[in-house]
Amino acid sequence: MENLIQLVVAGILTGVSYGVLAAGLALIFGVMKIINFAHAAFAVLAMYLPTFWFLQWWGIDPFVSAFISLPIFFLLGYITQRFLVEKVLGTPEAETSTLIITMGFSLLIENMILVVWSGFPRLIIRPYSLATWNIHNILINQAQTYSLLISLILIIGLFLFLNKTIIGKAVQAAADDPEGCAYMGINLRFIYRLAFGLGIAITAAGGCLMATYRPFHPFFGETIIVILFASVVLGGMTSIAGALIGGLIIGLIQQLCSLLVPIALQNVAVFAVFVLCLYIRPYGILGKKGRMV
Amino acid sequence: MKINEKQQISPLWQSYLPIVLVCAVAILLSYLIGQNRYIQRILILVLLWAAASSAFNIISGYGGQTVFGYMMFMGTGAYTTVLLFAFLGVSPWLGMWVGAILAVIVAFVIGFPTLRLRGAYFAVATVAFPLMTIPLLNYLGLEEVNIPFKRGISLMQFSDMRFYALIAAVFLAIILIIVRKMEHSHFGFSLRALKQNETAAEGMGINTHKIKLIAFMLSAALGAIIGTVYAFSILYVLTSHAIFGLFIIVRILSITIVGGMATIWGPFIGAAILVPIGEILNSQVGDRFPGVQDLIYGAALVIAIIYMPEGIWSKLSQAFHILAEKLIPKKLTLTAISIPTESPQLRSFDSFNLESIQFKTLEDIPYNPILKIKGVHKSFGGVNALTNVDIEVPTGKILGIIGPNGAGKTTLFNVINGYLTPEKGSLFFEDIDITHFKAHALCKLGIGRTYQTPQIFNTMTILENIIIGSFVKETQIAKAYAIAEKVSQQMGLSRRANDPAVGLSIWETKILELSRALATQPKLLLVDEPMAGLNPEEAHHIGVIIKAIAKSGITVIVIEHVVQSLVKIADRMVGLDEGRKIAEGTPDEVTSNPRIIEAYLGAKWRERYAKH
Amino acid sequence: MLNIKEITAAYSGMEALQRVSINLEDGEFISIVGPNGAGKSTLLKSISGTVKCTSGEIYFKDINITKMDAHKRTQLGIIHIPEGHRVFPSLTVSENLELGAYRSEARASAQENLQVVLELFPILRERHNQLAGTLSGGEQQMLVIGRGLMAIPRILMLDEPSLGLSPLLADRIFATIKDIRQKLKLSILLIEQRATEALELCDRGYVMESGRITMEGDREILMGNPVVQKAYLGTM
Repeated sequence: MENLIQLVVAGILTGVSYGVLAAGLALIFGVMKIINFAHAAFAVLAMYLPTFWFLQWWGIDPFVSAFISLPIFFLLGYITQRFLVEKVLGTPEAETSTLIITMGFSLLIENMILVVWSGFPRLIIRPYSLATWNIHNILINQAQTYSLLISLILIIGLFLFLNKTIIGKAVQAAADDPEGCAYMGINLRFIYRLAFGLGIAITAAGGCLMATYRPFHPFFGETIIVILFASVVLGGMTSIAGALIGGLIIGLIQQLCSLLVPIALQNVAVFAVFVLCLYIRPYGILGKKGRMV
Repeated sequence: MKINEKQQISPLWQSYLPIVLVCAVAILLSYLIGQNRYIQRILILVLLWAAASSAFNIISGYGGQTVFGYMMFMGTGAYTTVLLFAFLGVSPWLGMWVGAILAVIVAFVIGFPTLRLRGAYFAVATVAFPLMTIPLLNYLGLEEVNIPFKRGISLMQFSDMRFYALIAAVFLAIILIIVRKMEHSHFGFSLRALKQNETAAEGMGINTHKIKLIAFMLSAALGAIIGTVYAFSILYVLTSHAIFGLFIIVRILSITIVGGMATIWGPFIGAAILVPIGEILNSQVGDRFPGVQDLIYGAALVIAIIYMPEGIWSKLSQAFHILAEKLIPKKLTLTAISIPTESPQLRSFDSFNLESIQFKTLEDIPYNPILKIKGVHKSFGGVNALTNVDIEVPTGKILGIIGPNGAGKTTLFNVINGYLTPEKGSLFFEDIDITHFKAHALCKLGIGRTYQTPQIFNTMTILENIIIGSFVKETQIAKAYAIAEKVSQQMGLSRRANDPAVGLSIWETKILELSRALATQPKLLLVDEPMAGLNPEEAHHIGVIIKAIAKSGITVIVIEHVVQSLVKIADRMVGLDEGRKIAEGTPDEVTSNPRIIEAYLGAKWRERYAKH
Repeated sequence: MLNIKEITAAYSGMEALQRVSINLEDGEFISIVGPNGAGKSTLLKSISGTVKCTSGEIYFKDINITKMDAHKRTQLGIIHIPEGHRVFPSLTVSENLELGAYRSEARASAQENLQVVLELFPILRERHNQLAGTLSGGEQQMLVIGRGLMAIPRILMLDEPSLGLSPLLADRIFATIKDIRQKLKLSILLIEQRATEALELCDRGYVMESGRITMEGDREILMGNPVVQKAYLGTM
């Protein structure tokens, strides 16, 4: 029983971090209907650039880096949309082309990381990285808990932006009916760049948080991209709330399936669930055109 | 376009000549390179990546279904063969086929459910499989498998690398020959059509799911074989990441896109350009910059997609075709050089008689009514599009359907011709229960269709569009061609037969759609708003054509808003409103029906038009 | 105020407008009638900028807007309400209206304008918290018009507002348009298949066929013209 609770707790903690990353992916897909294959690569870049590097050179704590990374990666995302994705968005084969272009881009990012930081797996050691609290014999990792709290703050921030500001509502409108936006004076190109930047920013922050308790290497993205896809699909591909819930579920599945399956095959189990979901209920749990937030 | 009397449609042996030549040159090159392992390796890699990309091209280029998880099949081939060899001593020549069969099975299992998914879902699904096979293999202890070197032809292992080059070149030639044969076959045509417009293809009797699956399995089998050759000629150790990893698909995509998707030489050109650059860079700076090769491929992919999405080959092939036309007379050109000529003369339709291809007399059609619609219900997400619709369609007559926007008219057509299945009720076509039949099956049974928004295959010529239609009943290319010619002559399109089907006027588009539908030799033809967008003279002629179609024995159902024209040609009419049938009878009866007047026509209509 | 000189535009690969010229004076109500596929929608789209002209020029108050981006034209007060009552389905009625005032000039007086709009369309006040996707067709049409009004239009362009609506609702929409005309100071450009109602409301009218203007004139003249009567005043 204790074991079960332990796994559930671990699942929730892991799941939230997946959810944050997936939320960015869902935002981008929801607004522009494109799949950003480089999404996980950006997250990994965030693990190296702000987290590892800032720590190494300036002793900045990763949790602080998470917030610093927001504007940096927002800009990166904005530029990516402006110079890369936009070039293929208007074309008839946009869905496939953006998938291809982001796939190529992810390889670029990963190999650049490889060149600069080499392929050795990295680990961030901070006082809280391995420390745990013991509550009724359930071990709760401190780094993950702080990550959870910060993730919640980020998510709430995102929701507030999308729901309470007029630009946020314009983003939702663009997701609903891009052509309709043009008639209302909403500069669609700007909104798309904003959305992409926002999606990358929140993912980067999530990456920084993840780095506090997991080892990472340049190609780590290839492992988690499928998990992110699974989360987004489970939650209904355009729903941010869905992606969060999807991430949570995936995290839980990942941990709980260790009861049935050896740990090394965790991700294979996740994958099996994902594929089944695609076949049986491709619209995910939150259903079809739900509200994005 | 001329056809000779022998009606040879399969490409002449001359079109295979370039393939054989190029591969012979490659083999010669290999022989000359001799024992320089470094350069040999590059040559072999060029050939292998060209071969793998050509196999990939079948489903992703020609078929338009970009399989992002393609490395699944190369990996299956490689791992199967290596494991059989390393642990059971089975010769790779034999193991290769086992690998291929396994890949086909995997393709079927993955493809059957996945190919139904829409673009984004499909791409994401296919990439998950190989990426997840890696941890599985690692868990089974197969992360690295040594390929024992035992030397011997029967074991596909040579110390002289020229043999590997020979094998690679031969397999490349085989794959390219298969692709060429496919380009000119009925299968290839269907694949092209479904890539262009899947809905229209389904309506043209093409079982799109089946065709996609076959192309998928073919690509898989060939990919598996290349995977095997790759493992044995290049690798010493087979690692899960090396053959199932993402960078494989990025390379294949770079090569195919830079060279040109859906072209026969595109992958080869892409490989010939990118592989040497990658390999040389790798050997020069690979120590200080590991991963520089993938950097190049990634960059090439990004640049190619933005600046050159059709690939290099397409740009070259224009010039090439003009030259080739003189050397190799082709029977069916797939890219036409357009000669602008006039559109079908309207005057020629004044006394228009359609010579029926399929019926000798009306007595050929025993069933009357040809279509029975009983109690059909169809709803979308809680909204009732059709409620309890009962219609009997009399054979050989024209039935008109009118009603306001949103009344369910096009939905009714979609149900009749199999794009939609009703929740309740049934449909009988010639006494066969077709309620659950799909579009392609109904097209084969004899239900033809034109669309509210014309669905032309833009990348094909006018004649090719019509041939897609004739393929429904004629599987032999020569006969299909003859029927298409006959229809295009009757409809006045034959002078423009070889023009690409783009940029046509509304009138021409409608004529083309009708021609294509007629080529399917339908017994029942559904025509959706034929007069929309036509000026009064053109609308009149469409009416004449429809009357002639009915006279030739084909039953016609027409949806139309230009009611004053419809009443002149329809024998009977049905009025729909909010998904229900609210009127039925002669045109006069329906247009004077008070419910129709209230919901649709308005009181003034009869004043205007009833005095004809 | 609005001068369109010989514009040509293509839509979906076909030439939809062929050298069309139209003038709209400040405060005028212009109706454009004609058959399906005549290019009326394309004309409006060229004015609002969602379709680019291949030749010709468009002037708004002496500013050449031919090459201007669509969202910038909205800033000038050219508001286009496209056909099909397309609301933002997953946003509420009030959010939809709020977005109508996205244009920076309009944001300042958004609250005031909201009251005006809700008076014109009381049903929207009732449903202000409902998701716009759940409204009926007629209510959605009112919402998109209201949304357009929130942008403080100088020119309000309406594309077939009665499309897909029952005769009763269509009449109500036309009555509201008349109301808007009287209460607010703006110019209106109306496209309608229901030619009778459209011509009754307008000051001047144009007839378009196959991408060309075939007739123009004051209301009485157009309505009294026998060709127009035969072709258009008899249809729905």
